[in-house]
Amino acid sequence: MDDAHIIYDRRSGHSQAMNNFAREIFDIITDEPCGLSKIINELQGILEQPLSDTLKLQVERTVVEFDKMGLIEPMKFKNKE
Amino acid sequence: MSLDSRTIKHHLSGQGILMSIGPICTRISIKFPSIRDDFLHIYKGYSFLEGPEITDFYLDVYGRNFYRRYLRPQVAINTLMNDNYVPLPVSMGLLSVEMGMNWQMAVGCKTHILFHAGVLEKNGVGLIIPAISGSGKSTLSAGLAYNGWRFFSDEFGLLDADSGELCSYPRPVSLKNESISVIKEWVGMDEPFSREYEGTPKGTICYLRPPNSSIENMHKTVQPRVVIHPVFNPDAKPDIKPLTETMAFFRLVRSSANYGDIGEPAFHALAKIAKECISCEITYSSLEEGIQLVNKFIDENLP
Amino acid sequence: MMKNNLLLKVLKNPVTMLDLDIKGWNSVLFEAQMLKLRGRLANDASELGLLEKLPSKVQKIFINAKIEAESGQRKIMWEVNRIRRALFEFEEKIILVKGSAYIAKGLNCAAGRTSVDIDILVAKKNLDIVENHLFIAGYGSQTMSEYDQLYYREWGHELPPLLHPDRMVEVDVHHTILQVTNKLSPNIDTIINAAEQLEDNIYLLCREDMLLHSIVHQFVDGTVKASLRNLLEQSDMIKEFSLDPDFWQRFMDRAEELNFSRPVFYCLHYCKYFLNTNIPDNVMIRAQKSAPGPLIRKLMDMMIFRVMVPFGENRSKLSDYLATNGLYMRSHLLRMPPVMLATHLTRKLYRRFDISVRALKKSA
Repeated sequence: MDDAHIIYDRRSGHSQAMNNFAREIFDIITDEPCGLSKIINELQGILEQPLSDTLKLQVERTVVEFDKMGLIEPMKFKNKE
Repeated sequence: MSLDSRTIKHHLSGQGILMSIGPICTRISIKFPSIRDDFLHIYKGYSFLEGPEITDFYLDVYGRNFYRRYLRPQVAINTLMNDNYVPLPVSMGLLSVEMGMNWQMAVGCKTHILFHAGVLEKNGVGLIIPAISGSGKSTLSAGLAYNGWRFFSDEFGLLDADSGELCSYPRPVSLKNESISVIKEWVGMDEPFSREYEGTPKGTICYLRPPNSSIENMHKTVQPRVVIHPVFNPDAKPDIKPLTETMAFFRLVRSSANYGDIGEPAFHALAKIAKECISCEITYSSLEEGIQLVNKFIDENLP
Repeated sequence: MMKNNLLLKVLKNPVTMLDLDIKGWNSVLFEAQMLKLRGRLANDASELGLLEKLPSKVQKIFINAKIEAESGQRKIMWEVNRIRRALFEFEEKIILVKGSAYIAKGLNCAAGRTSVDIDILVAKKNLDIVENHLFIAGYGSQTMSEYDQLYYREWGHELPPLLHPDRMVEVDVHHTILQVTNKLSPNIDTIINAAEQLEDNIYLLCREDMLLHSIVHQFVDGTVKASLRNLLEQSDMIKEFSLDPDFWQRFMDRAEELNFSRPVFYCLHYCKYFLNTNIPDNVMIRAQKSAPGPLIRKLMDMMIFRVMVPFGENRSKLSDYLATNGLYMRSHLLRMPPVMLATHLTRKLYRRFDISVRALKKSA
């Protein structure tokens, strides 16, 4: 859509809106399970510059939000990061 | 082939009469003569059947104990659908009938996407007016219905997810408090109105029967083309605010009673409306102004 | 007489739907609605390819029922997902029981089933821990009086229902499968130990216990009223589980071990009687040993169908009332010591009275 991505989650039946930034993070996580630092690394690769602290915080908040929505969940055995 | 009112009354007081509105067929029985009279007046010209017909909903309006029919009479309803209504005094009778039918739709209808919205049609253009209570949705719908638009519904807009078309479900409009006199003046005759029920949980309530032509054409569907979210504010300047596609989508989701139940087909149907319809929010301070804004927005934006 | 009930006929043999006239449909659909069996009929119809041959209005009603069942099941499974997330750090068994378990396991009896709440079973020592995890995840308990809270905790087999405000699906946390005051209370540890893993720490009862639980729930725990659906689910489980040739032996042994032979007799007897469920002769003979005396059996036979299907036309209200209350008292007596029973019933009565008084005040 014009200003956001709207996704429909078949398991929950919920619809969620994401801006481009959140969508990018979501894509990284769906590629393969990973931790926070891996997401930040990937994003830095895409943007070709280091993330500011506010952006890093933003990433963390987005991930917490995803967890709340049930889009992602923690894993029992920690992945190598 | 319409039944005469004596036959209808006879069934209404006994085993129940079948009433068919839009896609829904309800068997209704009412044990109180005064409520029967109110009911028959407001549903004059609707389609009643003696049967047999396969029935969607059953609604019983009755006195809880025998003495309750006579001593400080109270009316209870049974919708067969886990309702938990507090009995109302008989003087508010029609309210319980309408509440019962609303409940049955809200809980029982999953074949159509339900919007808490007014729906109207003019020249093949389907208009959805989704709204929260107090936004003047009913006033605006009633005003448009008696101003050249065909009335589809006030409380429940019905969308067929497969065809993407709006279905008509023209129940009486429920008008509250100040809007009653506004609409009475607008319509210019008393006949299509019910009595005014005072002291209800929502203040004074009065029902308005839609124009006959809307009732007669209740089986004609229409494509949705316009979505208008009304905001009534007597002190505000008139305003039209266009909505982005995403906003339009989420506002539709919020106004739908069964979006979550229908799931994916509803997601696609609403996304289609958000994409293909023109959507806005209007702020208005009088009925006349509201109708002007609706017409203005449609004239200027509809391709 | 009762065996002529149209709904029962259609459930036993869905093809007979094709013979129903409008009056027949109205009676079947009405009773099915009251007994939460519309989704089941809809599913039978579409599975057997009958749907297109039915009146178009019936098709719509069935589609409606299907959507309702599917959405209910989606909500239930999502809630299970959320419970799993909330209890991520909890290492012991969380056992799904009843509807959500059938749905999760994809049993035949779950097809078209409408479920609205979730029941989970955990070891009693873990009640507080589980409850705590759920509270942290945002679940809350609905407001109820202190007496209710106490009753639930001390004598009931569940905590007051919890629900998450975003989703509003009731979650009942149990620590046993019967009320603790019931003389049949089984050794719950054996049942928990036998539970089988579904995913992570989410478990299901083993098949024998799953069927036993449904039986006990219906025939001992006081939910006979409008419970045709439960009998049907037992019949379905019997059909599905007994494909395994060892099932009956294991099942009957387990019933004896847990002291559930009497309710098992009722289940097999009525499944066979009402639903023509295929039960091997040797199993039936073994079950007969736990049958009640002729008087009680006669009474049960007389009452049971009226109670399981308490709506049909041409019923005397008084005899229905007596039948229902007879069975209600019976299961209640099993559950609580007499003095407690008396206080509990007076409180219930008082509260009912209180509610009607409040309703009066409200409308006055």
